[in-house]
Amino acid sequence: MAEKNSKGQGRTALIVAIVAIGLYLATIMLNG
Amino acid sequence: MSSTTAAAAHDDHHHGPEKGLLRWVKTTNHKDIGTLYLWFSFAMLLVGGAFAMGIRSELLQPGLQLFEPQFYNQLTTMHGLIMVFGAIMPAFVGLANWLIPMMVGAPDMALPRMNNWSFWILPFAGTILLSTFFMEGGAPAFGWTFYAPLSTTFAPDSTDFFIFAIHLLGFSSIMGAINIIATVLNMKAPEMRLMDMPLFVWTWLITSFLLIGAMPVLAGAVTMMLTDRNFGTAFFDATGGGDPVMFQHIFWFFGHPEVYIMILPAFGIISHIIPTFARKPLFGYSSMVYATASIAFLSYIVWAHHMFLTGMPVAGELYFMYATMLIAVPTGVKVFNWVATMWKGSMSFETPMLWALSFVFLFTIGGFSGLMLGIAPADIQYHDTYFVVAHFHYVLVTGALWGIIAAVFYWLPKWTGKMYNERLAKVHFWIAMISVNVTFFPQHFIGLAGMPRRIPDYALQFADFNFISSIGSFAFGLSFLLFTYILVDCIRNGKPAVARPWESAKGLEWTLAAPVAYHTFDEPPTRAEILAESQHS
Repeated sequence: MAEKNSKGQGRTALIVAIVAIGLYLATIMLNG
Repeated sequence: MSSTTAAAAHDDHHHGPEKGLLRWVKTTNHKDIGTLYLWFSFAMLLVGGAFAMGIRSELLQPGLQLFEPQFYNQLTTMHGLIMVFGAIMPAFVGLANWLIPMMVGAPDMALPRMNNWSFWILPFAGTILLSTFFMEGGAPAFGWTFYAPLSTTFAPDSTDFFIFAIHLLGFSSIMGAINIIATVLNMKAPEMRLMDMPLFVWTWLITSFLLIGAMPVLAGAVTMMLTDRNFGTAFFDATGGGDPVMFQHIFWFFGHPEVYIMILPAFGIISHIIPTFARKPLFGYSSMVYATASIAFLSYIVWAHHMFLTGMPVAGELYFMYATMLIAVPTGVKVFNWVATMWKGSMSFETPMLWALSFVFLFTIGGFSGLMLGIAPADIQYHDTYFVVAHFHYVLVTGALWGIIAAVFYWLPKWTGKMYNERLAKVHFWIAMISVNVTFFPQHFIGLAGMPRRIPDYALQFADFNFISSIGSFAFGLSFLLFTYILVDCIRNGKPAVARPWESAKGLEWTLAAPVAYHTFDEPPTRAEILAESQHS
């Protein structure tokens, strides 16, 4: 269970981080 | 956790904490990091509170007594920034760190090293922000909303340090939110379903999505400020083809979700405390979850109600006005659910319950003045007056801060294994409760009469209410010395607490010993344990 969970944590974190970086770039690009 | 992963992840897994100062620097333990967050935010609360005492001293009488107007504006700006980014937000992250793993039956946060990093960025960011006071030209003086061009063309050089501090604070918040999302979705006990989760966990999960949606936009805004100031761009400069009003749109697209970031976790806390001291299950658990999600969604589509005076088209004003009114519906659901939870309950009034009850009453006052401000034609009168100051202090002090203090008294026996002094804590509550109203209630009146915010001097007609407000604020400020004493007294001399000091409290955290062990839930709780401690059982 722990091994399965630790894979899931990294994936969830990565997806959310990519969304955050995308929003950051979109904010600047859309107003440029 | 299996023995192989335990050995790989943590050499000292079944031991206590490291000794000495390095324990706190290197810690990856969610309880240690929660403690660090809470003490840091408390220190920032005292710093921001000291600025507030300066502001209210200046406003004690009409005329200039203590500060130059420029320095006064630095004080109001830094008061707002320190309280929002240094005190309230980190306090809730500290509570999340302490409580979420215990509430969902997880051994720790999902990404413990990143958790350490999230925290240790904060003291550096706070120091950078505060150091601007000592720079040439002084600290930023453009208000916590840092509207362009005040924060670009006309700002002091220290603004670049402010921008760096905001980037760091935002980075820390985003990492904290990622960690909470991964913890809740991936680490909760396998037998725990989403609709079994306690409301503090639900409200924080939803808050994390607000942070992920809002903080990158804030980072974008300050990045554009940085390039406008230093690299010749003109995002917000009309002479270069940019638009300063666009800054306000971007800022409030962050800023409105931000106010819900600061209140949703408090809603979660109140939803734990009221059922405990009313000795009844929470009324309308699922409607609480859906109401929280609805508030979060609506918070993204109402931002321009902060901008009714920028010359929006009438259709825009109407849309933002009606969308804002809509937030009263899910908020009303929550308030009525709390009241219905108390209905015919066997209530008692220990300190956490006193804070929770006054939260419901006073936060609702702040909510109603928010509705008044949301009415576009009325806002022409209210905008930028002390009425706005009164409104947001009712929601942020008697809302967000009240929720944090309620949580501290409620879970302190679990964290420290000791009971605080109930009699002193009640004295503290009543001093704070009365003085906060003496401080902020008269500000409604001077605001409606037309006194603008962010000025060090005012017309004679506002003198009496300002005097009352300042006296109240001094008492409120002093009440935090008593609060500090109660906390230190509890930690040093408190009587030992039992595992479940509130006999009707529900939640997996109460199944753990007090003080809680350094490592908990090595084995996830069973379905039966989860159901026995669920909020709707």
